Amino acid sequence: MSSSHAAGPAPDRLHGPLTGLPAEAKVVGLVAFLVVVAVTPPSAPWALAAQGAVVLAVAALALVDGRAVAGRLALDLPLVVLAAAYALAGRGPHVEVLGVALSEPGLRVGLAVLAKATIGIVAVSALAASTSVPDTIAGLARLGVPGWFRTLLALSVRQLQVLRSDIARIRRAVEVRTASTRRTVALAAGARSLGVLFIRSTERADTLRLAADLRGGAEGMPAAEPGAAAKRAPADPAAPWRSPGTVGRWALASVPAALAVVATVALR
Amino acid sequence: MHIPDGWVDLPTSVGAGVVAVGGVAVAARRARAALSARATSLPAVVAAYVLVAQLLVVPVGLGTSAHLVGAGLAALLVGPAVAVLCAAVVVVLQALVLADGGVTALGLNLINDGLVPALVTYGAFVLVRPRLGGRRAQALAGGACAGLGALAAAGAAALEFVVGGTDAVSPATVAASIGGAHVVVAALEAGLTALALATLLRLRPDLVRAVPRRRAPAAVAVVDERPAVVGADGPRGERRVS
Repeated sequence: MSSSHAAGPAPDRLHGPLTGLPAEAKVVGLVAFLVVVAVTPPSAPWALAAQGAVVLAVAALALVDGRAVAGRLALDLPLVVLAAAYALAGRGPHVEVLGVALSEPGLRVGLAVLAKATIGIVAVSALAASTSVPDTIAGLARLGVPGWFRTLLALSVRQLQVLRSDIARIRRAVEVRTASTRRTVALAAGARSLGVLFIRSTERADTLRLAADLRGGAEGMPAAEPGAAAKRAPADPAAPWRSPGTVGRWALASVPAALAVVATVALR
Repeated sequence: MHIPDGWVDLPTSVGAGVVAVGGVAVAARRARAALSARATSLPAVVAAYVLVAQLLVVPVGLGTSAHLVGAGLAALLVGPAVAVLCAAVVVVLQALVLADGGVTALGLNLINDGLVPALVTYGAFVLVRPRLGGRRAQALAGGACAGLGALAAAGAAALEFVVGGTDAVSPATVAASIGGAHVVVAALEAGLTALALATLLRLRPDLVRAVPRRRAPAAVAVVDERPAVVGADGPRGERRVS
């Protein structure tokens, strides 16, 4: 099907210092880091600031695309409103800021939630920028996630790419036919095409399934190549820390979490 | 929107994670047939579809925006068990790849965007199903049930905040604001679900599992293992619609 080919493979990621780390170590390191951030009390703003600095450093190492992160930070906007609501509706004692009486604990907690969510978004962006989706799924396999879930995950990612290209095509068609780039027009067209989009996707998936069956087999996914990530990052004699053993890699991946613990304990 | 990291305390997140994993395990057992290698493509399509439906963001005001939850529609399309699995895929992808929703809040988001709306929507629809006459009534009822599911999801989020949220703000205030914002979300959910269902019931009623087939089209009956017909250029001219 030409439409599914048109979606094309995901563009190759930039090869940064974090690309070679095993995905499972990165996922575990990310979760550990975010757990530490989550338990940091709102009464320790400097610890949160230090953790923010850590995550920014990691993001820089992971060669995160600044524009992508900026787009994702739009998800923070509701939290700004939430922080404002906390500050306005929170319990006393109140402080005067620019002539408005704000609840001090409410303000503190609201800003802490905002900061934690922002740290989370940047941290996940660092993982996503340094790890391809197949590598992440292979890492999840080594963490014991069952096969059916990984298959479902992988197929969903592919279907998502195809669906997105479908939607882009619908949007272009609407723009051409209505000579309008207004959001409401595009949204209305998207809403009207929801049902047909689903029918088309199932039909295409069935066609692909049938084609795979006819070519013989395709029971499940091709097994992800073990250590694919490691192979793509050959040992670099100039920078030996880039190719340490397994223990070293896991230690490297847990550095942000360790720094976060230090920040929480030292700056509380 | 999804619950970010740090919105509720860690014990609540962990507890929600345990509940969510249990729910997914039960759903996986019940949906074993749908997960066989041959048929996995339909759940994957539904998961991708829900992800895309969630990108259809409508501004609500005050910088906040609402989007479809999608789990209710998924439950009506493929049944609650498979819908929960699709929601799990959606939540994991959003947390690990798209940076939407907290990694430590995975369990909470799976409950709010998966378990609760899927079960409530499907349960409500099964209750009202015997009274529904035509396709129009079925689509409207399905939309209403999905709206109910979205409201129930908001209720779950409010409950989670009461259990594990901060004590700097009174829980009643937060519950009220969550509920208020989600009235809009529920209305949107109901309208869009009804719209999608109406199209599907008209063109491919065999794809809507919640509605029992009165007379299965012959082609579908033959290749029952592969429920959707390849290239179904049906008598109603599906291909002409885009």
